[in-house]
Amino acid sequence: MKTNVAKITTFALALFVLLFAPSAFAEESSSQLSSKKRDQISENCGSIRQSLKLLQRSDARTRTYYGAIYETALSKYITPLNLRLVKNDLSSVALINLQTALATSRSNFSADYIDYSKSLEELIAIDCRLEPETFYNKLVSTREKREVLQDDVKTISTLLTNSVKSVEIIKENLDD
Amino acid sequence: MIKLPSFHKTPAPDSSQNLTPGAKHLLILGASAVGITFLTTAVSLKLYHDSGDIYLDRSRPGFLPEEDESEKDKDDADFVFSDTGKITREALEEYLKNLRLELDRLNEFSDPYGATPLSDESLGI
Repeated sequence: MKTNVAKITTFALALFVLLFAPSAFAEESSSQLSSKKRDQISENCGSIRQSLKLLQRSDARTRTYYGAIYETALSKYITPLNLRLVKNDLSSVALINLQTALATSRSNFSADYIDYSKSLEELIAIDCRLEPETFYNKLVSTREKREVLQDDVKTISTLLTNSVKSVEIIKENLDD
Repeated sequence: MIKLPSFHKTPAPDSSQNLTPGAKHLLILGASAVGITFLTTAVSLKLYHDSGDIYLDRSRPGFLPEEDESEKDKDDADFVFSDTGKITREALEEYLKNLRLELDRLNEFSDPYGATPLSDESLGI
């Protein structure tokens, strides 16, 4: 009877260690990491905030630049071309789908930029000298939002490249 | 014994009693106008911020376009593909030539919104 109890206890202990040891280890390492980073964030707070402010300005400039090109591509090229193709009974489903996808992606880009900018502004507003942990957590979430924005840019670039390819196909298939 | 002159303090006239009904109405009108202005300005600023327009607006201090940006905007080709007319090879060639010029401008920035500027190394963390 005693051996059975001992076996069950050993099994339960082993199960507990297997289930919780990795997370306990992870928590320990993350707290070590954060304590290391905490000091660095507090020490370099001034320069970090300065870098973030510069980034905020350059991001605004990039957004305007890219936004203008997307707008031009859609309103001065793709939309008029689709209209002209329809009028000539040559409408291309691929190009119409591309136009819709591009318009959607452009509004996603705009919405994601707003989301990212809000996060970046909140990050800059945090006093990293006094609240390094809050600052780092916000930095991590801002990075994720920046990643989404980067994906949007890549998606739109792919759509625009595909649009060029589709027009090339239409051109090749035209009768002289 | 010297008799000191006594000063009688005359009560200050009650300004509200002296106001004519017209002046009172004017005062209320002025105060209401100022109150409404404050309220509408506060609501507009709240909407401006919450809608996210503040982040897209580059006319706010610190985000004004630089001189070279304005010059570039002026230099931009003003090509618009016409939505009328026959579809010919020449028309599509012209379309592609101009569209490619626009798309080449996208390569001006290497890796826009890349992860590097927010990395621990870049920020010195």
